[in-house]
Formats: sequence, structure tokens, C-alpha cells
Amino acid sequence: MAENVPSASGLKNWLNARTGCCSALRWWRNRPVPGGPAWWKVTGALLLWLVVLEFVSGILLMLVYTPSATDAWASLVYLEERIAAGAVVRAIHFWAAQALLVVAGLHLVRLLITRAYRAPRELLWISGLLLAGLLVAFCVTGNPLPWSQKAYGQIEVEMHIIGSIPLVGPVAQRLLMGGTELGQRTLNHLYTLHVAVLPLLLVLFVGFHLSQLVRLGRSNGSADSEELPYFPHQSIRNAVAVAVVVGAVLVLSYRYRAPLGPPADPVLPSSPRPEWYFLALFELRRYFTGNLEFVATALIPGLIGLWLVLLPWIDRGGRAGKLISYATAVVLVLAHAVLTVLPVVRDARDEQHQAVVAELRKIGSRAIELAAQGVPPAGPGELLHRDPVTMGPILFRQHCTSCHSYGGEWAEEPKASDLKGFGSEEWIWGLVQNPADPRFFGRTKHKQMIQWSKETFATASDDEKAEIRQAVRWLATHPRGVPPEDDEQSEFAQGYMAFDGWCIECHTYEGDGGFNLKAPDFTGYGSEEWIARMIQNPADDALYGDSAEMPAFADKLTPLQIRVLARWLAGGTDPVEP
Amino acid sequence: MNRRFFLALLTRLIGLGTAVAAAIPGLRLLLDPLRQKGSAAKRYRVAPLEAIPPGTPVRFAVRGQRIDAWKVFPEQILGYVWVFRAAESGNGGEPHLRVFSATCPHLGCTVDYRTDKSSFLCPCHGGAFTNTGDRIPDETLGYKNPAPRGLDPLPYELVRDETGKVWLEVEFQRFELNTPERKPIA
Ligand code: FES
Repeated sequence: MAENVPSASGLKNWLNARTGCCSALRWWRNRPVPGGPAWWKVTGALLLWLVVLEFVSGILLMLVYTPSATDAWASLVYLEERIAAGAVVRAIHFWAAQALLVVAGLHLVRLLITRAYRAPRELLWISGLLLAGLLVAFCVTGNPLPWSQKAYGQIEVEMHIIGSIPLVGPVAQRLLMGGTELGQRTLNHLYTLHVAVLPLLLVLFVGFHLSQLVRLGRSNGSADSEELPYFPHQSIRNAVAVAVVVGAVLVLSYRYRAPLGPPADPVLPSSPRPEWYFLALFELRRYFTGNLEFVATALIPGLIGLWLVLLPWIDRGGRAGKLISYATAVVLVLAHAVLTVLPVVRDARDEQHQAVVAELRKIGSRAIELAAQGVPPAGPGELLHRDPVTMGPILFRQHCTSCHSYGGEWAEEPKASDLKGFGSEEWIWGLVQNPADPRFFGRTKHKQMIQWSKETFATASDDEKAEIRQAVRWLATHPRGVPPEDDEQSEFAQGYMAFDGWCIECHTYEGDGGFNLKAPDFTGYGSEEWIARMIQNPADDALYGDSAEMPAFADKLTPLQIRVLARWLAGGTDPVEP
Repeated sequence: MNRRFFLALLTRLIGLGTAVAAAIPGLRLLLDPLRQKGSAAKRYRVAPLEAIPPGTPVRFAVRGQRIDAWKVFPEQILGYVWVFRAAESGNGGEPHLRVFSATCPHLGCTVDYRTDKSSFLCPCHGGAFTNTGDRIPDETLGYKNPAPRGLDPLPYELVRDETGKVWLEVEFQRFELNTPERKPIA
């Protein structure tokens, strides 16, 4: 009869009659908590709900994230910069993952201490260990997906680690990588694992884990029982714990974005470190190098895993068993903590590593700023390669610092001028007054200018000095063209006249001058074009001619690199147009 | 029993609160497409005037920078326009042009021109339009014209460049489909 009555309770009864879902739920809620409800029993429920949060946020990320070597990073910038709550959702996925790992650790320790692995729960325990393995796999496959410089560096090392596993390693590495090199197919493989294969396995194992849990009753530390029902006595504790942890994840997510950094690009500096949860393994590798590397990367983790899997049979009960379980927990936690702290402390003291980290952070925010305006189809690398702010210092340090310093830095044994502020009024005035300063020609063989300066300034009156200063100010505007005949008053004309009075004997300008000797041409001096010409070929007749000490770079740098470097030296920040 | 009832209520409230708080950013992301704006009308140089013979409509591609989410394509076909240049009466007069978006206002196929019928015909569901872009009435056509309105006219300008060549520049834009009135997609 009830089946025909269209009421809420009728529908519920009908559904229950057909599926048994409501009685199952009622049974689930009313089952007693062995040993009574307790706060330390919340870890399982926490894990479950954090996994749910990961699933939901992960699916939302899939709406925008694009697993392509040219698009992955750019799609995340778009997600974070242009989509409502995009950065928050990605941060939730990140922070909930961190929480998941911490809680999984706590869960493991809790089960170790309560010796929850003992018969008849061996399989429950082993399925839990497999779940822990799945978590690790989620991290390994998820972290590289942004295809950022850091992610790329990490997966490169991880692939190497997989390859170093005896016997199966090389094959597994190739299969995972989708070939012999990191690239598009690697990304597709990682993505497929991360969003399809692993979630499927996770659901399966969680299902098994929970069904066994129900069948066997929850593990209990003690035997006495008031036998209170699970709902609401344990549930309220679970709910509070979930609210606190998820709340913390949300607060963190609104305040701190998930790390991104610059896109993967071989020209950028790199000093990859694993995520904090893998640091212990990273540290272990330091002690086993060369042929022994597999001890750290495969043998020790493998043995730990084996020990845990066999624990139900190793622990034969009694005091000895208790000791084994406690010792396992303590050793694991301590070893992990120590091995994690050591590299952290070392890195904090390692100035070079910190410098790379700081530089990558700077390049990263610049890259994101540029990419927020859109990315060319060839990917974000193209964007960076055109950017003087990013590439200027990198190119300078690669190609120029064997002779030039920059702001007194970067060059170990500078042999030529310091190029910070090159062509600016302050720089030129400094040079004119004292070319012998090591910042200018002091370290070079150019002596004429030094001679001229010494003689000129020894006798020059204040008025004359002011005139030279005027020429300098004019020169710092990267002048081009001559002032019209009737113009004698403008800054430009005054500067030009000062040049005519003081510099024209040696320096040329717009095809005029250089009567005494040929010194560098002043047409557009210090401009991007002038510097580019200088980089291309300093021995150009219009530049240093035969007296050039600097080699030509026309063949060592691409035309684009020369333009980018020149723009950076000239103080420009806009990306070079294609 | 009272305590149990209270705890149950509290559990539900806490659970609900947590779920709502976590769902808010997700919903905002999910609904983001409703917030995104369509591209505004923009002027594109389409063809030199000399490439447009009087009498028959000619179809031109509109090319320009296309922004697809994060990707910026420097030059892509954005759409097509039909340009009809009326046969000139006198000589020397300003040429009279009509420019239509080639996108069918029914469901967005690209309409063809049928020289034999001197009218525009959509290959998809038979939307038909006169030379002047008007919707051909059902009676004239002999069947129900699926197009809800005439072809969408686009503003244009003839511009002379430095070399003296005259160019057709079109204000390209998209409109809502399948509505009797003409609404730009914003
Ligand atoms: S799309 Fe043109 S008639 Fe339907």
C-alpha cells in the first residue's frame, strides 16, 4: 500500500524496500563504537573527507587545467588570475593534500600504537598501507602537472629514481615517461594516472577498507565498552575535527596560493628540491651515491614497506609485540623527522641555493605577470625569451661576466667596465670625470679618454665643466639628428653645441667629427640599437674599430638574444616584439 | 535521549556548515563562465576595394588576433563577411557597399550566395535572404524560413592608406543567434 502513497516517507520506504539503503544507513549509524567514542579515533573520518575535498576540487581544476607541455602552466595562470575563485580552488587542492598527508601519518601512527593490524585485521591493515602507497603515487603524479620549472626538475629526478630500481626500473621508467625523454607524453601519462587510474584504485581500496572495517568492527585499544552508538557520539567528534581541519585548509587557501613559479624552461636556473614529505628520501640519497643509490631510493623504502606489511605476523603478541609496534612507530617518526630537518637546515644555510630560490621566485612572479595578459601558442617559454627583465640578467651572466661586472657584482675577475646604468647621465658623467676608475676604462687598454679627461679637467673652468656636463646630459638622451639651424636655445641644441665644442675631435655624430682619432660614434649612444650594434661587433668602424678588446657576439648569440640583452642594458622592461 | 538529540543536531549543523563553506569557492569557479565577457566589436581591415567587383556579393575572411582563454593567436580567421557592392551608376561616385556577417542568424552556419537565385542561402536548414540581407518571407520561399531575422549588417568604412590604396574596414561583431531582434553578444 505504502508504495502508492506519494509522500516523503512513502518514497523513503519504497527506496528502502528496493535497495535497503536506509536500513543500511541506520545500521551504520547505530553500530556501537567498540571501546567507546574518543577524539583520537577521528583520523579515519578526517582522511575520508579530505579525500572527498580532493576529488571535488580536483574535478573543478580539470575544467581549466590543460595537460599540455605548452599550455599546462599557462592554463594555471589563467585559472588563478582570470577565473573567479580559481586560485582558491587550486589552493584548496594543494592545502588539503598537505593535510591529507599529515593526517595519514597520524592515522598510521595511531594504528601502530593500538596494534590495529593484528588478526583478524591483517588485510584491513594491508589495504591501508596500499592506500598510503596510492597517496604517494598521487603526489608523484600530481606535483609535475603544472609543468613549472620546479615541477619539471622534480619529475626529472623522480624518473631517474624509478629508473634506478633494480630489474624493473628502466622499463617502468620508460612506460611512465612515455618514451625516452620528458615531454608531452610524460605529461599525458602522469595526468591519466592522476585523474583516472589512481582515483579509481583509491575508490576501490577505500571501499574495501571501509567494508572490512564494518565487518570487523573498529579496532579498539581497550576491551571495556559502554557500547554507545556511532551516531552521534563518535560522529560529533568527527564532525568537529573535520570542521577544524577543513576550516584550516580554507583559511590557508584564501591567504596563500598553491606554489607555481616560472614555467619549465631550460634557460632558467634550477635547484630542485622535493616536496617536504619526500625530503627524507632525498636526504637518504646523500648517503648512498653511485652504484649504491638504489639502497636509498628502492631498498630502504622497500624494506620499510615490507616490514609494515609483515607486521601482523611479526608481532606475536605479548610484551614483545607491544615493544615491536611501539619501536616501529617511534623509529619511523624520528627517522623521518631527522632526515627531513637535516636538509631543511642545510638549505637554509646554503646561500647559493637560497639565491636560486629567490631568483626563481622573482622570475616566477614576472612570468605570471606577463602570462596573465595571454600566452603565445608556442607556450610561455617564448614569452620569457622575449622578456628583458627575465632574460637580461641570465644572458648577461652567461656571456658577459667573464669581463663585465654589473653593479660591482657577478664578475669574479672583471676586465672591463661595469655596465649597470650604462649610458645613463650618471654613468657617462662618472666616466668623463674619471675614466681611469675600474668601473669604466680602468681595467681596459683604452688610454686616450683617460688622457683627455686628466688634461681637460686639470685646466677646465667651472663654466667649461658645466658645458661638458651639458654634453653628457645630451648624450644620455641617446641623441639622433642635428638641431635645425635656427634652434640654439633648446636643451637638445645646447647639448649638441657642447658636444661640438668638446667631443667632436675624436667622437663622430651623424656622420660628422672624429678628426683626430676614431672613437665610438655618438649617434643614438647608449640606446638599445647602439648597444645591440656593440654586442654584435664592437670592432665596427663606427664603434671601437681596431682598438676593440671585446669580442663580437653576432655568432654567439641569436639576434633575439642580442635585442633582449641590449634592451635590458638600456633599462627597457617591455618584451621584445616578435 | 535529550543529549543524544542535541549531539545529532550539532553534528548535522557542523557538517552542513563545513560543506557550505567548502562549496562556495567551488561554485564560484563553476559559475565563472557566466561572468566572462564576449569580445567587443573591433575594426578589421578586410580587403582592398579593388577586390570587390560590383554586382555580385563576395565573401571575405576577417583575420585578426584571437584570444582563446589564455592563448593569444596572432592571426586567425575570426569569421566571414559578405560584401555586396551595388553596380555603380555614374562614375567617380562613392561606391555603395553593404556588409553582412556571414553567420546565419538561425544557428550560426556560414551562409552561401546562390548566383542562380540571386540570394543568400544557408546550407544548414535553408535560411534564405535577399541581396540586401533581408529575410525572405515564407510565402515567397514556399517553405518556412528558419531564420528569425535578416543577415546581420556590419558597420564599415573605406580607408585610404599611405600608398593611396582604398581598403574596406569592417566593424566585426557577433550577435545572439535565433532571436528576432539583433543583440550583440556581450
Ligand atoms: S543555421 Fe542557417 S538556417 Fe539554420
